[in-house]
Amino acid sequence: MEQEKHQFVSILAEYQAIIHKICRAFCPNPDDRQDLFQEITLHLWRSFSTFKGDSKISTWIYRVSLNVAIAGARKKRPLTEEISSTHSNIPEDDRRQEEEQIEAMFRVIYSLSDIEKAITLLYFENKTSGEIAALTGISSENVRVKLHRIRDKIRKQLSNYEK
Amino acid sequence: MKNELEAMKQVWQSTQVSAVPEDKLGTLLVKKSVNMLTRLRNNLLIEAATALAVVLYLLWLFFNEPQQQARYALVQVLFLIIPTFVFYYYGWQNLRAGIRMTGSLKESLLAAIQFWSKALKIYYWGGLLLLPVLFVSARWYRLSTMATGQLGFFTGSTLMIWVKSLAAFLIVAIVLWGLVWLSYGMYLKRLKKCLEELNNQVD
Repeated sequence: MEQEKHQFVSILAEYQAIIHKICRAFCPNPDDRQDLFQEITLHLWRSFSTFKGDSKISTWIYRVSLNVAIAGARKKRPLTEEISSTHSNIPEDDRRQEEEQIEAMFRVIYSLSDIEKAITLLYFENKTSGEIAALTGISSENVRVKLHRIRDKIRKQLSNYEK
Repeated sequence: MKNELEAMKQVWQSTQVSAVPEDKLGTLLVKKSVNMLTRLRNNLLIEAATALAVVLYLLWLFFNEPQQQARYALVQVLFLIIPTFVFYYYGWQNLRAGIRMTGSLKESLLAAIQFWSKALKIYYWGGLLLLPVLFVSARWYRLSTMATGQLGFFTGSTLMIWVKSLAAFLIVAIVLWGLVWLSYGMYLKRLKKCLEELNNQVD
C-alpha cells in the first residue's frame, strides 16, 4: 500500500500540470480550483489500483480529471478576475505581454460550455479526433464538427474583445 | 480560420503552472472529499442513524409508558419510523458506490444523472415519510401528557382532522419538492444539459 502510494505521488508530481491547467480552465475562482484539484486527486488515487496501463498515464489523468470537472458536483464560488501564472527569468515587458495573452485565452475558455471546454483542452494537448472521441464517448465526426463550431465561437469572441 | 484556435493552443502549451511539492501532494490523499455527492451520502447516513436512535428511544418509552392508549400510539410511531430508517439506510447503500469517473465523459455523465435522480427521490420521499411520523408522534404526545389544549391541530371531528392532515401533507409535499429542487436540482439540470450537448448530433 505504502509503495503504491509512493508510486502514485511520483506520477502525480510528474503530471500535475495537466490537472492544474484543467482546474484553471474550469474554475475562475482560486478556491474552487483548489477544491477541484483535491477532488481530482482523490478520484485518481481511488482508481489508481484499477489503472492497468492500457492507455497512456496522461490520457488516464485527462479522462478522470475532465469527468470530475464536468460530472462531479461542486459548489461554485463567485467568479473572480484573478488569473496568474508562474514566470521565471522573463523580462518585464515580455512577461506583461504573456500575461495578457494568458488572460485573453482564459477569458475565451471561460465563455465556452463545459463540453466545449473539454474538447478544446484535449485539442490543445494535441489529442487526435479519435482520441477525443474515445475520451468523450462521441463519434470522431461529431468531435470534428464540434471543433469547427468552437473555432467559430472563439473567433467571434476574440473579435468582440478587439472591438 | 484555424489561426485563433492555433494561437490559443500555443499559449496554452507554453503556460506554466506552479507545482505543488511532492510531500504536500501525499497529504491530499488523506483529506476528505469536498464534493456534494459525498455530503449527500453522509447526510443520508446521519438520517438513518438518527432514525435508528429514535427507534431505540421509542422502544424504551414503550416499556415505560403507563397509559394503554399512549402505548398504542407509540407502536404506530414505531411502525412508521422503522420504514423511515430502512428507507434512509437503503438510500445510503444505494448511493454508497458513488460515480465511476474512469469511463468516457458520456458514461460518467449518465452515471452522475442516475445518481442525482436517485438521490433527489430519496431526499423527497424520505422527507415526506417524516410527516406522518410527526403527526403520530404529536398524537402520542397528546395522549401521553393529556395536553389537549396545546395541540389544537388534532381537535375537532375525525373528518376535519383528516382534511387538515391531508392539506398539511400536500403543502409539505409541494414545499419539500421546491426545497429539494432548489438545493440540488440545479446539479441534475446542469448534468442533463451537458449530456444533451454532448449527444447533440451536429450536421
